[in-house]
Amino acid sequence: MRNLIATLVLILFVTSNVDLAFASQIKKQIKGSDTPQEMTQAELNELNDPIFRFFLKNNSDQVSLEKIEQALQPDAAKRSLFVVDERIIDPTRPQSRRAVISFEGFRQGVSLKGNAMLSVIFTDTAFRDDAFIEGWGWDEDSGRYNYYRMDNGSWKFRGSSNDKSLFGQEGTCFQCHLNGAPIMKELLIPWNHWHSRSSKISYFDQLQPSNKRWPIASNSRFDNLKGAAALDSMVRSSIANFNSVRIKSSLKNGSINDAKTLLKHLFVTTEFNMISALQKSNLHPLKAQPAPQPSQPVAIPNSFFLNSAIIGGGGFSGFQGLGIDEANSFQSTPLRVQPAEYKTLVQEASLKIANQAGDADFSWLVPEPSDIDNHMIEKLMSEFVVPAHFVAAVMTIDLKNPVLSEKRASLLEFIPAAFTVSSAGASGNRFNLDWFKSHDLTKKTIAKLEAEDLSGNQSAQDFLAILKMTKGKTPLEELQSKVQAYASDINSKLIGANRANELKTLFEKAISIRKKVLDDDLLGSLDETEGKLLFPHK
Amino acid sequence: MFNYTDPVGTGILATQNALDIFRDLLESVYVFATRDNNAFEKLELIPPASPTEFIEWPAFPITANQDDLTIDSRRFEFQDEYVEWRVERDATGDVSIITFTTEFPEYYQALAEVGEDALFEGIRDAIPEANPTTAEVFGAGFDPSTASSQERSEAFRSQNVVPFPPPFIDTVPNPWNNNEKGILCLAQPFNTLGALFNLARVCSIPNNAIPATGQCAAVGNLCGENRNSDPQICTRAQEVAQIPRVLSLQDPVGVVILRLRGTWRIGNNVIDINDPNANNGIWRISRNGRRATLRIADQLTVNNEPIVTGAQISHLLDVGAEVISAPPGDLLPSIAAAAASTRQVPMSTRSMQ
Repeated sequence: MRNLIATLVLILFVTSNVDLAFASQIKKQIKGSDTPQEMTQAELNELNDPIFRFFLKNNSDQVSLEKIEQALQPDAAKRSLFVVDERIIDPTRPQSRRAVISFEGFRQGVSLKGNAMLSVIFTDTAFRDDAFIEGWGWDEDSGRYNYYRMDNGSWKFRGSSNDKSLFGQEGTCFQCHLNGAPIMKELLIPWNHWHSRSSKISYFDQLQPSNKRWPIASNSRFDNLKGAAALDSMVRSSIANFNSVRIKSSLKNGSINDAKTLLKHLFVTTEFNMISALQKSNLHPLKAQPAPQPSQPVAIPNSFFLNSAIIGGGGFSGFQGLGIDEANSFQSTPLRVQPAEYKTLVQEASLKIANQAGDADFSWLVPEPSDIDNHMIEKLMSEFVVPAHFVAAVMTIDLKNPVLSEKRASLLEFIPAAFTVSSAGASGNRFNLDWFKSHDLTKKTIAKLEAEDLSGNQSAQDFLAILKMTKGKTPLEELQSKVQAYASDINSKLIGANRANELKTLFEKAISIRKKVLDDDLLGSLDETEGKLLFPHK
Repeated sequence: MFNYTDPVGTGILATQNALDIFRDLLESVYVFATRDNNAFEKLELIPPASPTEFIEWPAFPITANQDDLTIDSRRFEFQDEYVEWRVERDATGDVSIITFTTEFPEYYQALAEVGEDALFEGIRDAIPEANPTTAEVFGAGFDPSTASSQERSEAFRSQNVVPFPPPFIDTVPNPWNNNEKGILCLAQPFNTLGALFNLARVCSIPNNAIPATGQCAAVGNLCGENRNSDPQICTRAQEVAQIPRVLSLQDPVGVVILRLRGTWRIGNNVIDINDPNANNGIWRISRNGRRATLRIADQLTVNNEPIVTGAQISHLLDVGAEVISAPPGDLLPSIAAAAASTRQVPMSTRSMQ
């Protein structure tokens, strides 16, 4: 009997140490320049996303893409391949591209869709998982993203979205994942730089003859090549979930206790997305099939002019927003840039991309307010945490600069650290004015503004005046009249005799916004092309 | 003639002796689409084992530029992506059921040609609880028993489809198709079988002088260049034509409801909305992908949001048209044509520009 017990104890000891031995092969390396460190058992126990659970826990010695794909989802039909590259429209060989691999289905009751993704490089002939594999996984229980990278023959844990102190830090995953969440810069149609239904990449097309197709297109992964729209949907779902979890965890006992973190998204451009007209410019210098100018008039995106997703609502994002229709009125036919006009704008601005004269693949490619910021704003309103009138007041400040507004960003200091939330007063209406007036956020913000000497700070003075409705208008009315005046101004300038000059002014503004984003210490990190390929530039 | 199959797959066309009529109808549009020295071919000439693909797009009407509630309530004006829907609400005003359709009216016109009983069978096959009246489906004062088959077909169309060309009458009298009592088939004036084939026809004329993405703009009002649907169909048809390959709209022809995107939950539990064995009957695609219903279960959310409009769901709904293509050298020998079809299908455009 004693021998049996001893044997059992030995078996248990060996088994647990075998597990530990495999799991311990994954090391922790927060910065790329750090020496990889052993992870403690406590740290390993915190990892519960699909990538760790179904692969790294027991297979961290496996470094091939095929192994991790099989481990996460053995059914190849439930894996999707997406391709992105700033040179994607250039078919010449040899070249490489970036791929994202997503998974669907359930493993042990855990949904894989939008909860685990991999990123890898491939060339025109082969997948290069020997270079690196990056991955993130969502842990629903602890509400965090975990980031991993395989390089130099081993897997590393690269941090989680709970490590807020890492956000923006150079050399970490969070240099790009600025909020800790998944990123897809070119969210929303037409997904410039991605293989998509707006821009199908012919050299991946398995119907093309072999001399017009990259050999890699015969790789079985390309049987599940999907357009960026499907990835867009998954990433936005992931962002939506992330933001929901953050709001839920912030809301304790009827109070938001880290207001500046959540409301930062309302005042500051924490990330940016890229939007363009739906029309191709036909002016990209790397284009295989050149044409002299756009094939059709170019509709400048509404979000170039203002934060249309929130101020107008509707549209591609589908947010309810503030419902000011004029915010979505900048794409009417008379305002569209005619093909010859657009070509002139590009030429006169001496735009370059890839060191050659030309424009992005899609016309009028510009940064826009990010989905993660806008979704948070929308969610704060729909959950009756922040009144719509408060959002309207903020949006009124520096209306014409939807991205990287220093004026709006400067107002964050007046937001209280915490405020109580009571949705009952709203009676189910985010625009309820009495609720806005009596809301703790409104009252505390006004109090902080009034406690300061605002002389010389016009933005703060304006913000205070709008919140207090000193002009007799609600914040929404104030915003609406500003939007109407703005839309009317743009309309009259673009329809009038001075159209050419106004177009030039707007085009210069687009160039300026691109430069501002690329020069920003934080946002500029999202450009992996050293300023040459992400946006056209002078 | 190709043996075109019943697009909704329930067998009603055959049991009601309407299948040959429907085939004749389809033959006329396929023949029409092969005109103009383009890459579009009749199905019987393309080897059946040739590769097929779905050209996909989201159901959301991107050109509407309206809030979701407005898009819901003004179906005939805004829902122009070959998908239309009906939203039912419960006593508290919450959404209870959303029904999507991509069925073309020609299916029911074929049944109408046979007679009123055949048509009623077809309507009840789609809407089991329907009890239509003659006046509702054919119009007040119409006697289907004395009318010709063509008159019945036209009367059905008048009652169920917004007429084209303008001036538009923004109403569909039949309550079983105007969302009052139900939704039966596409009624928006641009969502027509003729428009789809017209689009495929012109977009498959090889135009190597321009990028394929420019073809939609090049063909004018036959392609709604700012929509979700038309540019996809047009660009892909042109790409295939430029390879060069020949192509056709795969049988059974039509627009298929494919899948819902997004993260769906009941309470905190993520569900696979697209798996009929795992979604508790919440999302049901029927009639060969031409009809789908979303039942709003308690605590059902998508992307952490409650379901409040049909347009909200249309953002997440993928639909598509299937095409088949082959190298020109693989075309099968053509068989001597039967007598030309005399069916009339309105070959309309996709915009009024």
